[in-house]
Amino acid sequence: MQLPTLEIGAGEQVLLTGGSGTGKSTLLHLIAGLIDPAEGRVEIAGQSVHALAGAKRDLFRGQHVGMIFQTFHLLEGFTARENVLAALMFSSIPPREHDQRAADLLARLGVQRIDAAAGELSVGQQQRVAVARAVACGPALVLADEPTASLDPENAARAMDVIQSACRDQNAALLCTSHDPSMVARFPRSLALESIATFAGESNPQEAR
Amino acid sequence: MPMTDMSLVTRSLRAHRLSTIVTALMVAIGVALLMVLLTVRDSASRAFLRGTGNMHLLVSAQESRLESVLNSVFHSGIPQRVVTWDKFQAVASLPPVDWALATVQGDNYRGYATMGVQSPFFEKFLPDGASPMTLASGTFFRAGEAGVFDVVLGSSAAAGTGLKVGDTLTITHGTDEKGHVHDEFKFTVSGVLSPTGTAHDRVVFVTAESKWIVHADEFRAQAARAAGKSEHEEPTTANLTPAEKPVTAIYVKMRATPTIAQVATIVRNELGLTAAYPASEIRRLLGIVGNADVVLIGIAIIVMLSGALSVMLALYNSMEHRRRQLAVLRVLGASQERLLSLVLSESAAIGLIGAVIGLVVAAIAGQVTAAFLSGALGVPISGAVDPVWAIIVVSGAVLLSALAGLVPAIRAYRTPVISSLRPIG
Repeated sequence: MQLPTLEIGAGEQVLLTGGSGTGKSTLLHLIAGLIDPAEGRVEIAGQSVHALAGAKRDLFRGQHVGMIFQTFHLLEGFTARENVLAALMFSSIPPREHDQRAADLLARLGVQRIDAAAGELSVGQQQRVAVARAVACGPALVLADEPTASLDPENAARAMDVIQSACRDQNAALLCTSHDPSMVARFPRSLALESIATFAGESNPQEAR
Repeated sequence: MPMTDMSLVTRSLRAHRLSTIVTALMVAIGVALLMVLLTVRDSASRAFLRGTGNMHLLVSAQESRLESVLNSVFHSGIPQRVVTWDKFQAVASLPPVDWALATVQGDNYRGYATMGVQSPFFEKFLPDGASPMTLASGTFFRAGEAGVFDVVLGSSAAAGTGLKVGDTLTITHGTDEKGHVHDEFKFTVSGVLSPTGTAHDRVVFVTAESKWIVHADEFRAQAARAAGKSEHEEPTTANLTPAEKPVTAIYVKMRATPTIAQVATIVRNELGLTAAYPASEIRRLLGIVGNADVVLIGIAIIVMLSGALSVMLALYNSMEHRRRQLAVLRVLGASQERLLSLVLSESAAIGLIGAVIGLVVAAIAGQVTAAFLSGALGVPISGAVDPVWAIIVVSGAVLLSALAGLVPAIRAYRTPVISSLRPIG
């Protein structure tokens, strides 16, 4: 995949569309620093992500990039509150503020049983916990990878409302991938991956270490 | 409460509760076994070495030096050969000798060995090498004829028999409590000793003179019967002949330690007696027994290693189920090194839990084992866990468990993030 310059402004919300297997997820992993580019660079909040190595890059990701997954990936055996606290562990926010911040964030996003095991919550509530975790550290950018792919249209709309409003509240830019054409209307800017990138041959990107 | 590495570790341990308990118990068994063996071994060594007190030589007529020490210091049996009174006096009068204490063994009271000693014994012989015997109640042997049949009880003998100052008793011939009772001679308890932490605590001390009188009375009666007489002269301290004053062993202390070997040579070559260095003999015994210790301690260490191995297997297997969780932590900002450290902390925590359980078990099992061995060996063995060994063994168990966690920790370190986060199903 060759991608010319793509810039997303602070607090801007961008939809990235494309069919299955076109590389939307790979692009998000690249931006998050989980994959190294063959060439070029990714800058977030003025920092070249791939110029950082190892633990520094991981910490930078934890503090500046939030990620939302299609299947939420909440931590098993942890409560809703603890899922958010786990994200805050790696932030620069003073630990004494973590508990209150997690509780406030979950309350604002409408999570009712914050001390219930995440696995016991409804799908909708789990989605909200995942969003709260992604924005907990006040990230510059939230990457949402097909966040509504497994939801029916009604729940998908609700989930997107939550994600988009949470990002607006935190002034975090949002880059959301989807293959659902109906999502285009929700975003002021949408890009089809096939139109902004060129593809040559087969690739097998190596995970960053 | 903010989340910390420690809370992540405790959460993981709770999430795998059964596995945590089983592996911790495996570690606990190894720790408990090792602690009990080390505690009892050290305590037994100390008890044996302490019992020889401040004597430099043990002189007896027995052939085996080790046997003479075991019999005359630890009361494991009765010497079969005796030292004559003349030879005792010859030893006592050697110029380098500071003091020589005659002891007369044989007889028991309800299974507790009696030992005939003369009054200076309590003053001169320091059973623990540092301080003389002291009284918990009563007095030592009274002076003169009034005190000939006085008894001073070691602390364990007093506790075991229930005797107290003023009580009377008769002693039984030999080591078997069902033997012939010398019921014609009544003894009176004059004092009870404070504990010394040595084999002497289990001894019923009587005067050497009373022993000689009791047995001289029997011999004189037999001699009278053989001569067709119905009566015999009753023995007293005044009319005892040298032949009626056999000694089973002599505790000897020199004025200066360099003369010990010289006296030992004289005793062996000129008097034809056995001179044993008690502390050396006990060290020799412990050296022999020590080989068995090494095997037992080796087994305990193997059990500990098995515990560590079970920690490794349990954590390694759990890594497969935790791949997604580890990958999520990476996305949230945890470095590979942090995951490695979390798994190592988890394995060390299992080791610590196991070690603490093991220590508690060892504290109980140590007391039970020590009580059994004290009864079997006749020396007071303490089952109290040695804090130095406790620190060493607990640290070792934690370190071993942490090392065992290295393989699963490396697996956690290498967890691929992207493939682990692919949508379920």
